[in-house]
This record gives sequence, C-alpha cells and structure tokens, in this order.
Amino acid sequence: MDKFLVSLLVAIVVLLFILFAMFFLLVFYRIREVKNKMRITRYIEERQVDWYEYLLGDDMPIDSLKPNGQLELEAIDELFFRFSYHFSSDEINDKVNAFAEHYMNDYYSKGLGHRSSGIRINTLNKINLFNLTFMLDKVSRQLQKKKSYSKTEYILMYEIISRFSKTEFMAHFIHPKVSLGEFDYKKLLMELDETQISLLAEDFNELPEVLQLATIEIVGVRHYLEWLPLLHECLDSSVQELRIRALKSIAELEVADALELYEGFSRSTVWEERLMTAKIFRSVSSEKALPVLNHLIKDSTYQVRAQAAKSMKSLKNGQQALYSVITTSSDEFAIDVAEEMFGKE
Amino acid sequence: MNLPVITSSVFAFVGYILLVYMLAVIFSYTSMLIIAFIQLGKERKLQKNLSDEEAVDFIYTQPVTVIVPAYNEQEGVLGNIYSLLALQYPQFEILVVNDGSTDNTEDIVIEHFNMKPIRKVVNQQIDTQPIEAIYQSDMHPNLLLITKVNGGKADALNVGINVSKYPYFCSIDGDSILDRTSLLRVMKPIMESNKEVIATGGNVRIANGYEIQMGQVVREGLPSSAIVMMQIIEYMRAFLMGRMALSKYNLVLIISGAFSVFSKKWVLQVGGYAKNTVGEDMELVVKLHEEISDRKEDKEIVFTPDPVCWTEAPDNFKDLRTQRRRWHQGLAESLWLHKKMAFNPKYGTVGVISIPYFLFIELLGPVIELAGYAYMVLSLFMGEVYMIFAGILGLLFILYGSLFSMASVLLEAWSRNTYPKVEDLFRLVVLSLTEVFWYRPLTLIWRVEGIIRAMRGKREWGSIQRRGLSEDSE
Repeated sequence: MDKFLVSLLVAIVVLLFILFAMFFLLVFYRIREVKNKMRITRYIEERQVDWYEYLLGDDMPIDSLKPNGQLELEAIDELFFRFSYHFSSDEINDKVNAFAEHYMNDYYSKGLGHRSSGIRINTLNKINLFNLTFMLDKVSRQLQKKKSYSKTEYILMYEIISRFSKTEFMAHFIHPKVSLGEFDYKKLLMELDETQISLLAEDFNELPEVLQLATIEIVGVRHYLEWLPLLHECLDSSVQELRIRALKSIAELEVADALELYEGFSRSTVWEERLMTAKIFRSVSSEKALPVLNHLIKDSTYQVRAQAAKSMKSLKNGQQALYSVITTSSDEFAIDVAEEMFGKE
Repeated sequence: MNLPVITSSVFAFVGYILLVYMLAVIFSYTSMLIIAFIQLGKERKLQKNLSDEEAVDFIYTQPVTVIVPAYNEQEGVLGNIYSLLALQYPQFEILVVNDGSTDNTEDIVIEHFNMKPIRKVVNQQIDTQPIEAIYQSDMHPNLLLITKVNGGKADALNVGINVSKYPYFCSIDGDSILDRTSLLRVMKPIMESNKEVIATGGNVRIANGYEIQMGQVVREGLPSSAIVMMQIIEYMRAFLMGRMALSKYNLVLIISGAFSVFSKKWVLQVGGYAKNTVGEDMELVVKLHEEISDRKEDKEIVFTPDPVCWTEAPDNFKDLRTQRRRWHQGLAESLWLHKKMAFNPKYGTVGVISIPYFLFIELLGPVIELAGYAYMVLSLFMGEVYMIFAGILGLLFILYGSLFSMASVLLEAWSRNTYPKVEDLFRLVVLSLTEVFWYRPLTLIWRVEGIIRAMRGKREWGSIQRRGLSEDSE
C-alpha cells in the first residue's frame, strides 16, 4: 500500500510537471503567434493601398508586390480573403489568379498536400473563393491519388472541378468517391451554370436518385422553364419523393397550363402532393383554381388547408373567395384558416 | 484508536470500493480527454469562417423556428431578441413565448418591436396551457410574441412547437444570446448528414465579463469573480471530457436546453417536452434515443463544439446552488423515467454505455465522492493504515478534481488560437488547481441535494437572479 501511495504521488507530481511544461510551451507559442499576427496586420496596413492599386487600378506592377517570406504570403492570403468578401469582378479575379500563379503556386500547392486536413480544407476553400483556376490540374490530380480524403474535401474538390471545367464534373457526380447525399448534391449543383444543368437533365435517367431529386429542385429554384417536360415526366414516376419534388418545382415555375396533369394530385393519398398542388394553383386563373382550392381548404392535413387558403388569397378575387368560405362553409377548420388570411385583428 | 476486526474490515472494504471507483472514473475521463484531444487536433487549423458564406443559400438550408421561452426575463430578453434578429440564416422565424411572466417582459417586447395582435390558427399537436394572444412585429415580420397562461418552461416550448411553421426548431433560453453564425453552424450537421441527425446541441459559454452591445459580443474578457471563473473552467471540462467524446459515438444524453435544434417531426412523435421533470432538455433527448431504438432507425443526436451561445452564469453561491440542484434533479428524474433502457441491449450503445455512464459517474458520482471526503476525514482518526488509504484517495481527488480541470483549460487554449489571453490563461490555470479544495466539495453537496429532491418529488424551479448580458438591457 505504501508503495502504491508513493508511486501515485510520483505520478501526480510528474503529471503536474508535464502540465506546467505544457502551459509554458503554450504560452511560448501563444506569444509567438500573437507576434506573427501583429506582423501580418502591419503588412496589411502598410501595403493595402498598393494592393488596392494593383487590384482595382492599372499602375501597380505585379513584381513590386513580390512576397518576401512566409508571413508575407500569409498576409497576402488574408488580404485576398478580405477582398473576396468585399469585391467581386472578373478583372479582380484575373489579377488575384495571375499574382497567385506567379508567386504563390508553392504556397497553395503545399497547403493542398499538407498532412493536416484542416489546412488542406482551408486551401481548397481558398482556391474556390479566390477563383484560383491555375490550381485545377493539381486538384484533379489529387482526386486521382489512392489516398482517401474526408467527405468535406471530396465535395470541395468536386465543387472546384465543376466551377473551373465545364464537362469534367459529370463523371465525378455520377460516380463520386464518397457517398453523397442530397444536401451535398444541392451544394454542388448551385455552382453549375445553365448549360451544365442541361447536361445533367439530358442524362437524367442515368443519375443516382438523390442527384435526380436535387436536379429537379434546382430546375424549379432557377426557373428553367425549358425543363418543364422533364418535370411532367417525373409526375408519372413510381418514386413518391420524385413526384413531390417535381410538383414543388412546377409550383416554383408558376405555370398555368397542363392543369389537368396536376389536378389529380389534389386527391392524392400523400399529403405532401396535395400541399404542392395547392401551391401550384396559386398562379392559375381564379375560375380554374377555385374548385381545386375549395376542395383543398377542407383537407384533413393542417399544412394543406393553410396553403390552400394562402393560394386562394393570392388569386384575383381571392379575398372574396375566402370570405365566401367563412360565410358558407360548414367546415370549422376551413373557416379558421380562411379567417387567418384576413390577418391582424 | 483500536477498532474491532469486523469494523476494521468493513472500513477497509469501503476504502477499496472508493479506490476502485475513483480509478474507474479517472480512466473514463482520461479516455474522453484523449478523444477530445485527437478531435480538436484535426480541427485546430481549420478556418471555419471560409465556409460560412457558402452555406447561407436557402436552397440547402432548412428553415428554422427559433423558440424563446421567457419567464420574467425583462433583464435579458431584448439582448436575446437583438442577437436573434442579427442571425445569419436564410429563413427563420422567432417565437418569443411569454409564459405568464409577472414582470414587464411582455410590455417591453411589445413596445420595443412595435408588435400588433394577429389572428393565427394554431395546430394544437401537443396539449398545452391556453394561448392568450399572438403578436407580430411591424418592424420584423418574422418576430412573433405569444402570451400564454403560466405552465413552465416545457409547456412554453410545446406552445412554440405548436405555433411554429418550420420543420426544425431551435430552443434558446431567454437570457442567452447567439453569435451571428451560431444557427448556421448548429444546423450544419443536420444538413450535411442529409437529415440523419435529428437533433444538435451547441456549445454554451459563459459571458459574464464580456462586453455585449445590442445582442452582440464586442469584447471577450474574463470576469473577476472566482465563482464565475470556476464555472468557466467547469464548462470547458464538461465539454472536453464528456460531450465531445460522447457525441462522436452517438452517446449524447444531454444537449443544453439553452441552445439546441430539433427535428419537429421527431419531437412530435415523442409528444414534445415532458412537463413532469425539471430537466426537460435531457428528458427530451433520452426520449428521442428511445424512439430511435424502438423504430430501429439510424438517426443521430450530436453535440457541435463550435456554435456558440452566450449565457449568464450565477455569480453567487445561492444562485449557483439553485442551478446545480436543479440540474442534478433533472438528471436523476430522467434516468429514473427511462430506467428500462439501462443495460438493455435493445437500446444499443445508449442503453449499454451511455445510461450506465450517466448513472454511475454523473449521477452517483457526487454521492461517492462525498463519501470519499468523509472517509478521508474519518481515516485521520483511525490509525496509520487508514491514513495511507486517505492519502491515496486525497491524491486521486486532486488528480480528478484539479489536474483534469487544468488539462482542460490548456487543451481549450491550445485548440483556440488567441483566446484566452496569456494573463487570463494563467489565472484560469492557477484557479483550476484550487478547485478540489473549495468549489468541488460545495457543488457535490448541492448535487446530492438534487438527488434528494428528486426522490422527494419536489417540482419547483427556484429562481435565479439575472442581471442581463447586454449593456442595453436596463
């Protein structure tokens, strides 16, 4: 027992010693870090006018800004971040890209291959944020390596590829190296332009189901009216979620034709489909919309009733139709949602 | 003192039990500290501000209802609402639920945000006390005030759920404030997991000593009060030697009610917040775990270290005692209500690891530790052999109570680049070494009181004096 006590005491003293050593080490690094930060701040203060001149004007030659040492590279990197936050133009992007390609190629390449995943992710974020197109090849090569990366890194790499190359993204999207969910795909799709979305829509049936769902949603959000036939096709799908998303996007497109295709969904057994139908009919003429909405305002699901009332209100003569629900309907719940639409007490 | 052999053997036996218990606790905390260290090491260099902007687009964020249950929060409610209005998030509504306050909470909010009564149909999915009125702000249409008959915090939150229109809700205490990016970052695990995560809890930090204006932290600082500083250390330790490791393995049972986000669908499935416990936040999380297992679904509840909610810590012993008693009572009640989950493999790792951990280490820990302190005192009167025992126990208490705290402070400082300042870090380190001599024994007593209150079925909240975080709260 005595021995145990002594060894415990020794262990605690050693531990305390180690903790204090860590404390002093931490203080040492902290002081160094604060000093470095101050030097970076000083560089930014002293040189930001020259940088404004280089990025926004024409007179500052690129070599007059040549970085001198690691801290200046970090300071310039920080400056790029601040500029990207406040300014956005092709001309500024080109200048940042030209400078970084000339003087910071090594800096970003090292970041991309760094053993700390945090630094790799920072670098990928910056390539994306500062539009460093010259890094595209390196990012593509990184993807071909056998080494496996975190999901965040893969998504960032796919994002960079889809932004900087018009067609290369397709293969990665269809066969990603890591399983991607709908959120991930939506994030990636937001980076695509109209022609790239068209490529996806053309090969719609080849896409994984989650990518199909995301594509359908983007078509609605971006108002790509030419893809309405694709949305109509999806209404016949056996996949319930695909039908709901297609109806949602149709509602976003605010189309007033092919109503017979949508009307049937007002009697669907799936309440989300009825909800989306109520939404679609807000952009239709009163005489065609009212029979459907008068039916949906009495729906058994609260969300559908509420949407039907909202859609009714946005119709021409909508107030009148809602008033008629309040005065003539025998459905208490329908009267409630209709009354709510009249707003404040 | 010469003791009869049997008494002596019993005394020695108790000593061994205490020793084994302490070693087991130290082992589990050390493991969790190592997990936290590895985890933080991975994220240390990550610049999170680089990816905030990209996540703001509404298409991939889910709209959120922020529910603020408020009972006599006239000191802090304005700062709280200001911080919420400044949130960087594409689509959200704020529901302040005034739970029959007897102070001026209602008038202050109505007047300050120019609120007008509106008519609104409420989808009564959970039974609650009746709503008296609903107001909408003229200046901020996404800000609503609901006044209701007093029914407690859980009831106020349930009213908020009934009125909410979005699929996720965020509960936040009326005296806390959020950083601009907090909601976005706390929602990230839900979005990135493609809805596999059904609840997330954010990191709560103490803001006493900070300069706060219009609901925003303008300057970080360390308070002068030793009680508050000790709580700061405690929060760091709870986070590093508990939540981080538990979250990694989907074992989280407590996400703070001060700032957490839930999927409304799942919360409705379990009947909302329970009104029969003082720890409604933990109770909800345990119920969700139970529901996940019953339905055999692959869903997760996670703790996110980064999103920050600032809260006001009690700055005197009386309020601290009330708070700690309540927390521990809530823990005891939740574990009792879900006792069937303990050691039950049907509930997976939550039943086999998490519930036993909370039972033996978090709930019963204070009882055993207090027994240890008593044992040490008794040993002084019982002869040399026991003195050694007492010595060992004492050293283990120092290791457990003070050195772990110091390690947590250092780990926290290492993981964050510039906070706290060197002089503040020094103050925290020195103070953490004193924990075992004054702060820890006190909190142990209060926590044991919480267990006793749970056993006696006491329900009242006990009030805590608030001063308000914002300078404009007066």
